[in-house]
Amino acid sequence: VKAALVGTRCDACGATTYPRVARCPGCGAAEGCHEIALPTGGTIAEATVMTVALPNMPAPYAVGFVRLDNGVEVYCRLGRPGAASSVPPRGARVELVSGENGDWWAEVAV
Amino acid sequence: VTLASIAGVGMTPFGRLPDRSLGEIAAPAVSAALEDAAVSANELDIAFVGNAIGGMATGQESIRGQVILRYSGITGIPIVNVENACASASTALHQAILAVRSGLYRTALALGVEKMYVGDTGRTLSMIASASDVAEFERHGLQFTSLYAMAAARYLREFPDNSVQDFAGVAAKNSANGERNPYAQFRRARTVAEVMDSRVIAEPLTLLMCSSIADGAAAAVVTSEPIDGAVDVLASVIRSGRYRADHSAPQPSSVATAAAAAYDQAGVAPTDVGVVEVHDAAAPQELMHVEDLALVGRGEAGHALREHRFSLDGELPVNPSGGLTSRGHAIGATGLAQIAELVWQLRGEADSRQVRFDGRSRRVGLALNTGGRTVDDRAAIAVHVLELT
Repeated sequence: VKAALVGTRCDACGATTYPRVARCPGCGAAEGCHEIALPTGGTIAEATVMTVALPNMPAPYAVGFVRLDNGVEVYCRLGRPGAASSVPPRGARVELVSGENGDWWAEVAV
Repeated sequence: VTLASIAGVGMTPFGRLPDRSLGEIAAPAVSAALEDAAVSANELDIAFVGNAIGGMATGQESIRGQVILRYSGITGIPIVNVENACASASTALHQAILAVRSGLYRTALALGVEKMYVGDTGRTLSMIASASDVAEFERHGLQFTSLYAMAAARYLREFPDNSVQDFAGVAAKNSANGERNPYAQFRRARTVAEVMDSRVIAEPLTLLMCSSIADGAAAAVVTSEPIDGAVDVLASVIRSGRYRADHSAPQPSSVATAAAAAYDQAGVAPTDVGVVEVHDAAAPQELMHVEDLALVGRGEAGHALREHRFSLDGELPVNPSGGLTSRGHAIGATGLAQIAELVWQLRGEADSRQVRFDGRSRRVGLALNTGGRTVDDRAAIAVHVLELT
């Protein structure tokens, strides 16, 4: 299932932000920010593999910045939780997918 | 224009102090700073206590400063709790400078203290990760080392004259400095090969390129009174990272922006700076920081490092304390540990790690301390410029 992230678009300056905001951090306009659904497709802008585990995150796991097709960049896990991790190449096409309890991550498109 | 003077500094050596409370960790730093300033606890008019994760570490979420300072006999005066992630201590210093500069207070204490060893490394890593936008980053397992690793990879692509060996060179240089620093957590000089051969944390970062967990404290007494031979504060600049609208173009560095503001406030040029402490939470950051601080040109830091310009006996010593990787990174104390090092260096009291100011007409030092992460950028950036007059 594709991940439906919600961002904001500002009518005044055109800036798109994620996560959503009440007022635009780009131009400071008091009004005109409205919620939009972000695209679920994008490319890997930068990626790495963490070899150190966290209590909620067994290692290794890949993370990185995904540049969505509307230009917004998000930091997220790359690959399904628990999947063997290697660093996807920069520029690789990815899809944001959702899991349980609001979880989401990026998977390399096949 | 002098904003304020630093009358005294003190540190509790960084290290592993698992059996000590925050108050016990802070006390030696507070006492040393008061003694150095020749000020009694009763003469303090206000205190700012920087700490980042003590609430999570000990459960003391509120009024940590009052609890911590009571152990050092400081009560009754205004005590303000300051949290700004890894820039908490330099933010506390900024507040102390504002307080004495306002004229409402004459003598202020700035303290940074941290307790990171809680007997559970995973818990400590989670506490550190809380210095990010938790709602966005926690599910993705954010660790700051991932951000430093990706920034380092980007730097190598952008400036291919630099290499992973230069990152290891930074860590090796700083370990040699730390070996000479009695306040440092790690006092063992490492070779470039040892740094390269330590285990990979996140490509291209190895363990010895990364700052570790530490307990510790550092303090400064700040005053509006002119003191002969004191170290003056020429600039105190705090910024937050900026929202980023356009991800297709490189973002102007928030560190460079803060540094430019600091030079402007201080009325000094980068060439006036004779000693620097920067925020090498991971070793590659040191190279990027000296470039952001306009101390060398873009992409030239690796070359300058290889020419030993940043070494103790070089023309611009960087991180003579050993930096975050060797002196250690007790996160909410680091900013004032940098300030203590600069004060000792400027006053010529740094013993075997003393830098020289040969050929310089002024004794100017600069500290860069950064902290936390929003979805856009660093959360906090602090630059202080000091001069011995």
